[in-house]
Amino acid sequence: MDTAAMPDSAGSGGPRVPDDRFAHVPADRATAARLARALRFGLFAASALIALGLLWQMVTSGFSTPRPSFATFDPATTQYRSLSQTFRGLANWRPDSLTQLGVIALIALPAARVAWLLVAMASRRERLYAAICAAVLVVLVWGLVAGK
Amino acid sequence: MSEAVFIIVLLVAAFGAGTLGALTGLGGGVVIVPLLVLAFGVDLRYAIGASLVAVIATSCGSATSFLRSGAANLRTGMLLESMTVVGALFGALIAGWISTVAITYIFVAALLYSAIATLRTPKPNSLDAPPDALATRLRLDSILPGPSGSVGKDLPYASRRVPAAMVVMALAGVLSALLGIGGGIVKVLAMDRLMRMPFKASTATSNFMLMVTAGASAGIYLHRGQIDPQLAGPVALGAAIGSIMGAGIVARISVRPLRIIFAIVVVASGLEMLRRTIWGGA
Repeated sequence: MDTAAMPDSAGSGGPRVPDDRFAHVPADRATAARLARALRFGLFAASALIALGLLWQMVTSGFSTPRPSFATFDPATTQYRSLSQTFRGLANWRPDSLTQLGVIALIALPAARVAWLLVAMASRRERLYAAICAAVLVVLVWGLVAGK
Repeated sequence: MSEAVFIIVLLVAAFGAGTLGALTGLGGGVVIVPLLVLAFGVDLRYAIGASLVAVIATSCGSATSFLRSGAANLRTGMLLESMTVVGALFGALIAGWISTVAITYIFVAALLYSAIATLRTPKPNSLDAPPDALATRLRLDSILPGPSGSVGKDLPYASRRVPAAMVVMALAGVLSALLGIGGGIVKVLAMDRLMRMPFKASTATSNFMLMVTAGASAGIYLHRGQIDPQLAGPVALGAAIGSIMGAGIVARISVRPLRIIFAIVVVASGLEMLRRTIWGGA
């Protein structure tokens, strides 16, 4: 008897679709769970930098300085528009540069997430998705480094 | 108001926005921009910069729980965000050429649309539809896990109309970069209506993609000086904590009345932004 000619789920009362349509789901879930842990760590680290910077600012100058207005946009008033400017602020012991370091870490987190998935998909030999991640990463890194 | 008080007030306000955003599914962005503009007198360009950072933080905070539960579709997310980042890059580059008044009009339109879309009850999608050739090849079909690991309640689903959804995603990216929001409403619409994914999978996957969409334009706004630590820092931190709180309690409370109240707040703030833009004054 030619069993190969039989439909996948004949007589079993099971799903009408071939099971291999969902064969990738368990591995995807394992990848997602590991990614969740990595993301949580990244968010925690960036938030901690922001919290420390804000606390530092509040303790040192917070109660003696009036709030910044932000009522009119003036690019010149924002001192930290790149990572190097932010590090210069840190070298000068400026509290708001520590806050900005955390903000920049948050902004870079999406690129780190895409890079993480690129490695994860490549190690699972999912070439198409690794290639998609690589393309997205190029766009994100361009925005982070050169975009203006 | 001193710096320290300003930081604390911003933290509390952003915490509220983040919690409500997670509870209602609208995300923090749609309320953070009007909140900063209307309540704190902040220029729209600073508000958009701070909001984008908050979108990254809130998306990250809630995506972790959606990733662990298995509701977010990794492949659909990776595929569609390739379009949202291109749209976002385009949006950020043209944002410099568009007047704040024009951006306000687009923002108000997006606010009103979001409010209406949130109130719509999601229709259950038919899950036994025939597989779509492209979606099967891309292995976008997946299984939505049942509530808290109850075996046998898992929902297998197929996805359809992938190219159309990709086009809509590019538009969501443009809107996100232009307005400093996540554009979650447009993303959910594309996955829920076009691709016919289950509503829970659509919102979870949208959340997963939000940070990447916002990340594509946030770097550009940083270089332009629109992201100031004294504004973006407290807003992002407050919104992140709020979104984790909101995601934690969303399953335990009835969100329908909350959605209605939130929609009214969103509409009211949209109309107030419109009033100020047309007639000026505070």
